[in-house]
Amino acid sequence: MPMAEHTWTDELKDQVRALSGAALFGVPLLYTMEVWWVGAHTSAAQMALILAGTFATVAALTHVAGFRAQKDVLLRDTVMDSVEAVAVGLLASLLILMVIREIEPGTPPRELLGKVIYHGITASIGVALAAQFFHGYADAGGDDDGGAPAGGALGTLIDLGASAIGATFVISAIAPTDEVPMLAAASSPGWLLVVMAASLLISYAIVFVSGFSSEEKRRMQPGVLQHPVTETVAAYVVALVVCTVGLLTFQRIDLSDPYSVWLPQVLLLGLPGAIGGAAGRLAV
Amino acid sequence: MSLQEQGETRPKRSASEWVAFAIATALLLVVVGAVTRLWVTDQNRPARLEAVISGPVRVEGGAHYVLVHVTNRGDRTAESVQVIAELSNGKETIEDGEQTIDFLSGGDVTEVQFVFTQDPGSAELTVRAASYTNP
Repeated sequence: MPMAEHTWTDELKDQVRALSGAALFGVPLLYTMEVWWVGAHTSAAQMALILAGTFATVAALTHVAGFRAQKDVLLRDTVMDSVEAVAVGLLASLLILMVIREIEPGTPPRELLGKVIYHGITASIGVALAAQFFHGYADAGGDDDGGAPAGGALGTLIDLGASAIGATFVISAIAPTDEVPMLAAASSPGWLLVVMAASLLISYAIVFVSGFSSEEKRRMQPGVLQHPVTETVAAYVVALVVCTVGLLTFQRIDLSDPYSVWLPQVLLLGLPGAIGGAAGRLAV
Repeated sequence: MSLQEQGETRPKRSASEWVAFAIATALLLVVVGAVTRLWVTDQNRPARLEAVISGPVRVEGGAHYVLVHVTNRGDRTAESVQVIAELSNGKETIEDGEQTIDFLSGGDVTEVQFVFTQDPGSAELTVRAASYTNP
């Protein structure tokens, strides 16, 4: 049976899935200041070596997993997809580093390259595992056995609970660190709105564009909070609550301080929180 | 069930896939080109630090705020850059301040602020980068 033509929509979904894999896998390292620093003093020779090593690793992973709905068969396809995986990994790193303002218009080229290439390692690996990753999530939820998704209040509760668990999983490694207050101190109120928008956008992309079988069913689920936009917003609010609790648990913030002190930290931790929450929702 | 699981072979690449591949290749070539250029032009000069007072002194609540731009004009990164500002009357130091910058890579500029209780305009103000560590 001849296969359907790979449309522009299919390609867009493949690329968004790739970006989602990069965000999910890359975000813990993106919130690690030692990696910002090592990126800032890396020689060109080291950068070339890291790029080559990343490409080789990504090629091996792409051959067995990849980010596309269809599996690579020919060596040529593996090589071509690996080029795309590394490019998407580097692009995702650049974009998130810009959102958290570790890369700014005045950043010298060497520092910019070093940071993007170092962070690109895990992000590219995330791209190369994206199909496996998001498909794995769909499997875990039992969507393939034809069971109807839980709808209504129960479905909403399950989704929000999954968001909370996913967010907790990702932020528990970031909340106790000094990166959050450092990034918060450097962010203006206007910029925090950009961080919020990026968090919502990535969360939406992971759940409603990147997934496989579960995503169509998600769109069909009944319930007030089951519309893609409202679900994304509700899950983001849950992620922010989890971030606040996380920061309070590790005694990084004090709610008796003015909100201008603690809210920026919550919103900056909210980016990895939203990404974790989205991954959590794919699991149900 | 995903297509991956069904083990279907991949059809011929469509126009959309070729466009995505072309964009990705262009992006990667830009990065590889930039790294190569850096490799070729890299003189790997040691850090050369410059601390310059910039702009007028800001007075608030009786304190005088002096903005200093610290630039690394070399290629290599300087770590723990110590910046010292001294206010003197020509004979002895009246007031001083010290700042440490974690990392300053080649070509990078960082702003630091010094706060004095006395008016820097009425005395001699000097700022300098005093020390750094090779990372």
